[in-house]
Amino acid sequence: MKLIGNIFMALIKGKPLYYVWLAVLVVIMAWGGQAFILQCREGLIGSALSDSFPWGFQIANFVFLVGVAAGAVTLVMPAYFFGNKVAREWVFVGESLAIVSIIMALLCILTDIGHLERLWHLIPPFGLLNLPTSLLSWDVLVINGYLFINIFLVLFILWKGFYNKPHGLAYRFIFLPITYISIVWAFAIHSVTAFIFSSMISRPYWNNALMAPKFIATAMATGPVVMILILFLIAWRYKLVLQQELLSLLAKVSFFALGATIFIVLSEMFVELYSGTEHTRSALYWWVGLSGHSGLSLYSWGSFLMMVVGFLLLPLSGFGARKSILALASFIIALGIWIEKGIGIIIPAYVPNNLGRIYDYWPNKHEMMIVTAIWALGLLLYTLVLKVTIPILKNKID
Amino acid sequence: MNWQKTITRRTVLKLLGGIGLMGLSPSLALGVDPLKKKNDFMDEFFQKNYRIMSKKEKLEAVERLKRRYQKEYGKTFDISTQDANNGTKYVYLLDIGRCIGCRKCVTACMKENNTSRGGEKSSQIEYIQVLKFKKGKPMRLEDGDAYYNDKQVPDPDAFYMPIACQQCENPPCVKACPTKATWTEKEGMTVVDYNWCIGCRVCVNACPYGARKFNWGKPNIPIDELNTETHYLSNRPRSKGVVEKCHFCIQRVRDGKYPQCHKACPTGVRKFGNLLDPSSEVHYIFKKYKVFRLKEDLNTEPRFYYYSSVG
Repeated sequence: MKLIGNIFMALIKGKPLYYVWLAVLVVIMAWGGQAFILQCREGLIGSALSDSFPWGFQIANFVFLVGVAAGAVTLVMPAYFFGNKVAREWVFVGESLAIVSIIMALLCILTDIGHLERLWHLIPPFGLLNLPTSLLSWDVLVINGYLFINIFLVLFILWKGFYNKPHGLAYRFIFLPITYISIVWAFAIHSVTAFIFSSMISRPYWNNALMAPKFIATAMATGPVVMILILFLIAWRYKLVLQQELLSLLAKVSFFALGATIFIVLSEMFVELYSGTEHTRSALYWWVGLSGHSGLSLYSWGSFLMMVVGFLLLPLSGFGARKSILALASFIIALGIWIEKGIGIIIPAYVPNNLGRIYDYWPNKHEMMIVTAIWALGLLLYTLVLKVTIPILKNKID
Repeated sequence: MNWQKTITRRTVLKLLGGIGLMGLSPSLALGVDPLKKKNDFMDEFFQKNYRIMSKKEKLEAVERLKRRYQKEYGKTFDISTQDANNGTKYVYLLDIGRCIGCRKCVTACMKENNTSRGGEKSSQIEYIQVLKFKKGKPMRLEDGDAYYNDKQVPDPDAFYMPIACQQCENPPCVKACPTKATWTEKEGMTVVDYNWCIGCRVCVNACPYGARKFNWGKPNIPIDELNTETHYLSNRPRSKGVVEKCHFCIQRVRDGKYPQCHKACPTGVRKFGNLLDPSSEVHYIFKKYKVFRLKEDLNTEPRFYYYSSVG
């Protein structure tokens, strides 16, 4: 009861900047939310999607956000699997990041389906999940499972931190096993998400065994840099000192994963561009354009360049010793992967379409409004979560 | 054990919130078609997947739909729930050597199947797409022209290839659907339960033939062109936000008629029939001509075949 009281007080008490920040986010949400309300009335006709581009910007963000959620494992795994004390101290940042990004990912889907009110068709025992053949059915299960696991873990840490409980039976027999499950589960959510795409024989660009390894590698590269940026914000806001060991751990994980990502992208590029069969038309469209349609090559090369530069900047930052370089590297890595693992995965797969037509797609204002609102909601949620957890776990009052 | 209380409280609150959302969202999403009968609205909302409905439930669902359509369109609809005929496996054969590319099948199909004609707030849906290819060049889909606008057909330098749902024996769309809202009927047609589809469009992605169409907005059909002779699984009016596709005109085929595209074709290049019947025309064509299928390498086993009786 005392815990609930404290949470409540932590949420409503804050400096003026806190209120301004919340107000800004709420305004953005309200602005973007209009598009969603319009969509409820008129359908998805307001988006730039079509039968040739059945999925677009929202699904691109969904893929990226599931990656961020899975990437949180880069803090959870050292904390519990390798017994890294510093990682354990900050592990709640990763777990709450997983919760928030999963919620955002789910919202990307919920705002993209034609009949939101029929969502119960997916919830057993009332609905009918198409198991085992539908990868989307599996994704519903693993993503929601990951959400609940992480909510449990954060609540448990919070409760223990608040009452200053020593490690007891509940810790050893409930908390730790679930933590280990969450580590495996993180890989599962992202592999299953990748399988949704790689299982499609209709799109040669996706029907590729490298899809799941690429998803995991990009997730492991994104998760740490997103957490580095968040840690910098927390350290600035609460005047905390971040241990070099923590930054170095995250930066190194991102470095290796990013190296793997670049290798995977290059090897895909080689196979596709060298073989040049009909099945490589999508890759051609993404990298150099097709039959005069080349609107995306700026993004493909831009994101590739960002990943390479970020990859070089990480060691140059001394893996965290030079904080400003690390922050810059983190930002461009996250941005580069957001492009590559967003529109770079989704859009080219539809060009040319199944009957050979070449169309272009770019998200319109309607889709951008909805996605912006989802990002604002995510930031709001994460702000509130940190507002509650940091004072309790770090004994720092704002 | 304070934390247990917190969790139960949270769970209960979340549950309540969830129920609230569920109750709210249908009225939000269906805000455009107000239903006076409140229980009709809720009954349709809670109705089961067509395949697990009992006979009685099917009839109730049909009656509800009839009342809704009556209100929406001012017309009395006939909605059949007739099951698949036994001992039939339908196949479609198309003679690309003689198709003149008039696209009469396309428009006939739209009228027969009540597909959206498009407009400002809806997309146009055509189940059949006719591609025009230059003679003397290999048939590469990317070289096909889907928007030819010739004053006169056929163009002597071209041949034409109409493509619709291939009614695969091994359909990737059915595998991908997360809710079992689409399946293959005994006779071979893949159908959609428009009341069960959540509109996620994973099937549109999974189809290698571009056969699945999504209602991006509310379907726009001129009232006087509505076809009121319908089947639950085929041409009854759809709502916005669901996927639809060619179904070999179930409403006609189960009534002993040919699909509408077959009837509309002025040159008779469309052949439809029961593969299990040795005396059928399709059986004869299989024996006489070399047939081929689209994207054979994907192993989808289409029931739609192409052949050429000339040249």
